[in-house]
Amino acid sequence: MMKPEQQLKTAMDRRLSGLKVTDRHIQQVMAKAQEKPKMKRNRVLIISFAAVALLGTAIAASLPATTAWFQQLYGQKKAETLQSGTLMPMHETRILGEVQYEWLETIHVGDTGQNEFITDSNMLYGTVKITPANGANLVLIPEDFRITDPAGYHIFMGEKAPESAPSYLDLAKEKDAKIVLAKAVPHGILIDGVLQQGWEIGYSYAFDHDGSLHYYFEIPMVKTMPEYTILMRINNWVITREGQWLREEPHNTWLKEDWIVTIKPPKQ
Amino acid sequence: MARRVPDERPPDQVVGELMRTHGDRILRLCFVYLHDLHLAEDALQETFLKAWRGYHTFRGDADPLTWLSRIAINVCKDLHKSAWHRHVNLALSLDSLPEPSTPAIETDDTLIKSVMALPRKLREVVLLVYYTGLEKEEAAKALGISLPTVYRRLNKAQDILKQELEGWHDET
Repeated sequence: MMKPEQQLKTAMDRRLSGLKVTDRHIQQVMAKAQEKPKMKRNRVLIISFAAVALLGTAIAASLPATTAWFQQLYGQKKAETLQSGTLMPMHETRILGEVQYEWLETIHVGDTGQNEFITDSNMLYGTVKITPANGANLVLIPEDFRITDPAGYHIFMGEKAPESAPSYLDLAKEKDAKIVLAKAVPHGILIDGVLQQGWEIGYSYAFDHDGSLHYYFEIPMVKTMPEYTILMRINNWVITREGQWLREEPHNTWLKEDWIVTIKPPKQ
Repeated sequence: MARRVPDERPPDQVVGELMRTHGDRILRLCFVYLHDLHLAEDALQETFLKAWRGYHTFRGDADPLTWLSRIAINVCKDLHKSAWHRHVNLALSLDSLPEPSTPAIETDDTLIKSVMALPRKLREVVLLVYYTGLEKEEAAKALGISLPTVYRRLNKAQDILKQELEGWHDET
């Protein structure tokens, strides 16, 4: 008997053996990796991009931030699913060091009677907005980005930055500000009285052009409950202008906290 | 776990070597996930770019293939969000590939197409655990899901594959 993994590995390596990494692939990566961020000003592009961004904001203005984000990612049908759920506006805030975390809302979509593996049945969604606290002079950067990436553009999701777009580093120099990487990701949820950590949780993030970050989350297999208790892990640390993360002694700036919040659906 | 001594070579040298060693497997993983050769090549490029950028954060606690698979599956998930490639004819998709350099047998196509047809959440677990050989705990971390969820999805995938594939589990 051949184990399933052996069967699949053998079949894929045999049938897909024509798929090979070539020197061309390697050269493409090398060339791309060494591209320098473009800094030239191009006002027309900035304006047209800003117009598109504003248009998007206007369309989404009537939607809660969470619904607007998932609509942008997955389309109108997803937005309708979220709109059919229970919206729990919150505006709870927490300050960690010089960063403020504001939990804007949570949305629960109950049992839709469909297969949980591939649908939106029993899902919990939400958004945390991250801003500098009390006017702190910071440039916030989300994870996965380099300080030389264009600030405020989700380049990993195909958003194209104009050549003129300043990088996080440019902004920090311009404002004489610190660069701080900040995150807010749920790490657990209370189910039947037990805090389930390592529960299947998805998250993503986006920027506002005012420099704030939004972290969005989705937690599957959460049935309708009288209240929802979530462990939100918030943390932040400084990145130097050389790109070094200050997360170790003797220059450790890493702050982290488990923020536990209980959310109750509004009374009908 | 003991940490490996950080590789002091320049990143281009290290990433080039990683591409030569693990690139084929990452490219095949991306193809089966995304059903499209061009998208798979994009995902390959993005995976190694991220590896390049994040090399300073790779401390050597994990096997490089584990680390790269983890990046690749998340790159594929991002690419998969584009709607236009969701309805691909799997047979045509396989036919678009370069000729195998190792002779394939008929059941290979059947098995690969069945895996490609699995729901995305099941497919990604199957690929990480069965194809790239990640431990189930590593797959859970890579996907940001719990270990029981990995087991549950693997069982579900097994059930589907057993129904569709005569001889799944049997030596062929």
